[in-house]
Amino acid sequence: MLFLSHLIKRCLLSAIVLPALLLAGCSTSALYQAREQFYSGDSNAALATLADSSVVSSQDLVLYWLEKGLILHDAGNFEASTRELLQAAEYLADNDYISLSEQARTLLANDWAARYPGEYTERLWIHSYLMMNFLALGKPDSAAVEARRALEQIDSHHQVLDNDNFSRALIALSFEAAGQLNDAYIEYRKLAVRTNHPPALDQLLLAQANRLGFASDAREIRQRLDSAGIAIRQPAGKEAIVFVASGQIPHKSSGTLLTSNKTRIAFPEYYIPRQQTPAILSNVNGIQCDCLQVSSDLGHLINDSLRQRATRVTAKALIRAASKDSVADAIADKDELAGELVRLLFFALEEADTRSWQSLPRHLTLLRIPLPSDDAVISVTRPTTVAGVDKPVVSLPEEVSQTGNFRFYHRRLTN
Amino acid sequence: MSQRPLSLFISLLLLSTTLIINGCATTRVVDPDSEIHYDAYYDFSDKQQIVDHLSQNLVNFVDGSNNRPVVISYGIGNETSEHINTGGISDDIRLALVQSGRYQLINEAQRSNIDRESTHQQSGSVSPADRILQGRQLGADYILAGTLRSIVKKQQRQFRLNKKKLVHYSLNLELTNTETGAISWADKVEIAREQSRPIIGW
Repeated sequence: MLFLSHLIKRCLLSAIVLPALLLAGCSTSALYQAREQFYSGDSNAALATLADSSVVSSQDLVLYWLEKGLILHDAGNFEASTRELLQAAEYLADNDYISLSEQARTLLANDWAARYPGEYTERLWIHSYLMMNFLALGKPDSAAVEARRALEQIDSHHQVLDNDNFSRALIALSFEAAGQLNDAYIEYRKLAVRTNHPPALDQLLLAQANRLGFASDAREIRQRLDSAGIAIRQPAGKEAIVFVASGQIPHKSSGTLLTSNKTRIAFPEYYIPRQQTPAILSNVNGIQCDCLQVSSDLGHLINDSLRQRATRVTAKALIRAASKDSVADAIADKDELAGELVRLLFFALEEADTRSWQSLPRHLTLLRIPLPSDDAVISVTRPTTVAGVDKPVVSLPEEVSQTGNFRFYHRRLTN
Repeated sequence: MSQRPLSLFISLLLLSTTLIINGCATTRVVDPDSEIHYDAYYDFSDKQQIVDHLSQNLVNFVDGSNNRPVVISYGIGNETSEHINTGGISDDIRLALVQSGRYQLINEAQRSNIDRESTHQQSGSVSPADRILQGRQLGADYILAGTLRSIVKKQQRQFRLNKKKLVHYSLNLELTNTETGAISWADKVEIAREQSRPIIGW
């Protein structure tokens, strides 16, 4: 009779364990498939896989919009990309609170049971991609709106996000394109301080300081250029803005800490392989250009972002381990076998939340190339290890989107 | 004894009916002039308030004599952190000015269509007697333009159960004399609102 009772309990627990194991710790498979299709160069198949949001769980909706938005951006469909990314931004803003029901679920299972909140950096890059989209669509006012939203994000987590030079340059450019020159100047000046006043940026700042009537700033910049022996350039009329994305952002992996043979704590971590920011050369009418080039290594930034909230992640993992222990102990007091099975279930369920926005590139670069005339021929290349052979990134002129004096080009380099 | 299950059944029925009725989707007509805000951000009521204030003052700027100034609207720039269609504000102000009868408004959005129609009429398809006369378009005496700005101030990080946010909007509108470049009229509307959202939810 006792044996039969144990057997029934085992069956019941298995019935709970199996679906729980299937549900917890599983990201939506459609996302995996779409990412694989995207990185194998088949964007159309990736978009077909993500045709409808019903292919993902409600916890992964943000990732759905992010991946789809970025794939559409890389495919040059800026209008549709904007729709997806705006949905992600709105959802994150609306759900920016601590959900008690989610916290309860995550305490007994793992963080996969909660909606994906996005790393601080990912939240910033939503606005970065929206800025690029709006600029490409010829909507500089909307790009400036996203620039202000990006600044709000940077202000909230400035320890990490201040290091994103690409996004800062993009914010400044968005303000400039919208004619909000004062705001643009402030951001360019912050960027110049962070990047140790590169001459190309000083030239830009000088032109803007003159335009805005900031005489003392202009004097200071002129002195700096003079003392470096750099001739002051006349402000460019039209300029080509080239956005170059390269590589693949590192993925989160699961780290494990065994506190005993019955309890384990899992936490997300990044392994960031060493990788240099790709050097990019630009030529205007055959002459090498000392153009403004600003890059960010998204791999290091996202790693710093995760480290920034490491204390919180660890604290939560410890609380979860204690909660699981208490529940298993309480059950074991009544029935030892059931207690052990629950402990086994909790052990198996302990999984680090390794979800992330995986279609992002490893590096983002903004190039700003002055165009001496409308028919100027510019080429942007990437030096390779093969002697004497440079890989073309952009050869101009070609059909582009134009906003005011800016012509925008977008390139995603796959290797 | 049989009364108890029956009363239980009736109670459950009443409860479920109440829940269903309460959960039903409803639609109601809202007075467009009434002030309704769901959060601290810019909404329809704000647009009404801005348009009413600015258009009234702008209408009163001229005395209503026979000399009606010609105005062209170059829109309102959006310098907020929200995707606000400021075209709605400039359209409504333009409408108020036209309806006042004290201004003449140039329809800049229809310029290319007017040019197309004019070219068509001059092409020979329309009889000379019915053609519009060319060179009779009005030149603007004034440019109407403005900027909508916002400042968002968040409460400092501290132990709290609610997140507070103060949103301040200001819309500046200017009428610039196209001959002299002088600002002939300027006004602004300011709206400030505080929003409190719980940090913890279900």
